[in-house]
Amino acid sequence: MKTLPAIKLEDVCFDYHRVGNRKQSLKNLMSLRNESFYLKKRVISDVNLQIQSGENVGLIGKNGSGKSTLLRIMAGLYPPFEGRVQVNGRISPLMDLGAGFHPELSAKDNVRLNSHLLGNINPEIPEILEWANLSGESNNPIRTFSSGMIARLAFSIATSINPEILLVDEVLSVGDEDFRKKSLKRMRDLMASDCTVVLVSHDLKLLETECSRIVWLEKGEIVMQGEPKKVLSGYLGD
Amino acid sequence: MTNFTYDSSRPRRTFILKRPGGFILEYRLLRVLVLKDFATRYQRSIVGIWWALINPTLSAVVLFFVFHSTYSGKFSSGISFGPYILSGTLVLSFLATGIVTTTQNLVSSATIFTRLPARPEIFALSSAIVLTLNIFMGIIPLAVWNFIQGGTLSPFIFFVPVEALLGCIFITGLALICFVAVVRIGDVINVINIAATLATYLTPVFYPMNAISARAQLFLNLNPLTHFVNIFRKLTLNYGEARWYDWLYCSGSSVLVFIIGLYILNRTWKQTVTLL
Repeated sequence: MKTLPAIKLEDVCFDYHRVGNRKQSLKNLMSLRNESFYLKKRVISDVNLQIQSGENVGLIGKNGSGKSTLLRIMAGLYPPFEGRVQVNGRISPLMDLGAGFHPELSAKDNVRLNSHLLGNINPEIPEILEWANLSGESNNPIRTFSSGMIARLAFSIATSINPEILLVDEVLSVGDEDFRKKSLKRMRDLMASDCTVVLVSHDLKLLETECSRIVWLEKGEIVMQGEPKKVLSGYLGD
Repeated sequence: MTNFTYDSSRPRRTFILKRPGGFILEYRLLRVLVLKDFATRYQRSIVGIWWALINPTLSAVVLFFVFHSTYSGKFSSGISFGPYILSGTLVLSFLATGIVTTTQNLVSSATIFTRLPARPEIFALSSAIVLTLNIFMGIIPLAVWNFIQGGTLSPFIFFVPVEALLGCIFITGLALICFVAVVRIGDVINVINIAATLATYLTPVFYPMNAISARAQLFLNLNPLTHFVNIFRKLTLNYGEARWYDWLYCSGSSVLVFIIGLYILNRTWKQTVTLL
């Protein structure tokens, strides 16, 4: 039987809707004549991409090129306006360290909450806290935590669910060197397993060493994709 | 494997029943969210849950003080005016305030919906479930006031959870509609607040139905909150007649609002999520 790709994007387009120059108010809505209240901005255009199971892919591009949006489309968080997205596997999106955390809840309760949001109903709370070096802080509210501690906790939760697809958006740059090393090691372990990893980063060296393919995005379109060295030399020469 | 776990060409569904274990996952998530909402809303305040009762109880006391001489004579069935008002303010603070609170909770959770696979429906439902505690705890001051006035609690009181469940469905549906609107136009939240205040006056909270004209009664009977209040008074104070019509109107309007809320959310989600 033919194996399905982990992620398949066919002619995917995505628009952001933003209120124009006006304030988003009822008064302005009523004062409109023939103009539209919302401005549509196409941020992803006709993207075709297929990522095989177990593949490690890096996404590069300048700020505003659509990398994070594409990652959210892959995660099913943003439904595409045109085209089709198909995903095969349990996804763990690591978009924004700390998203879904409640500052008043303890570390332990936040692990429980965040794991459930990621679809893990039986989280190994002690192990997750231990990996994040926060075993002694389990009952403290996370509003007392530093951003590095929150980053460790979020990374520990996201990778504890044994994802089949891990989508990482520039989170390894957060935190200190210890966190970076530790999280990189865990990510390498996942990469070495069957896990499909899509990594957005501006750290080109990291992408070159860790990814088997790099996709270069510019203004929401794929400019080039393929072997890391070739794509990176094209990107740097641009 | 033959099927994709996510296919954007499939319509957005509220409950992921088709996925193995989907229902259990939604149920467990709901439980965790309810515990989270309870902990963050009540546990860390000094008087805890009693905060939620201060507003309806004080409102009832003030309304009692102001309207006592005007309306007390209108009750012929032995009901006391104080418990009558308190029962009304409890239901109103649960439903009207609940819709505003749940909408605000959804708006404040907006960043979660763009970063994690979380569904606003579950967040709205958990917020509404936590608010039912106001109703259950409110029975205590209601019973005390009623006892002081020489009354007893109704034998139908054990059916209050059924009404609370209907209230949850009603709040969830309306909050989802309001959320979709507020995300598009921020100041709709002010309109919702005004509507919630108007609903208070269009519900027989501090005046008996027989004190208003037949025409006004007809209008008030169109308001679902009137029927919620009627049922609650029957279930707690054994006052009036909560007929099958009241139950039917409450259930029908709750389910209808819930379905409309889900429909609007699902239909508009593609655009809504880009505005969060």
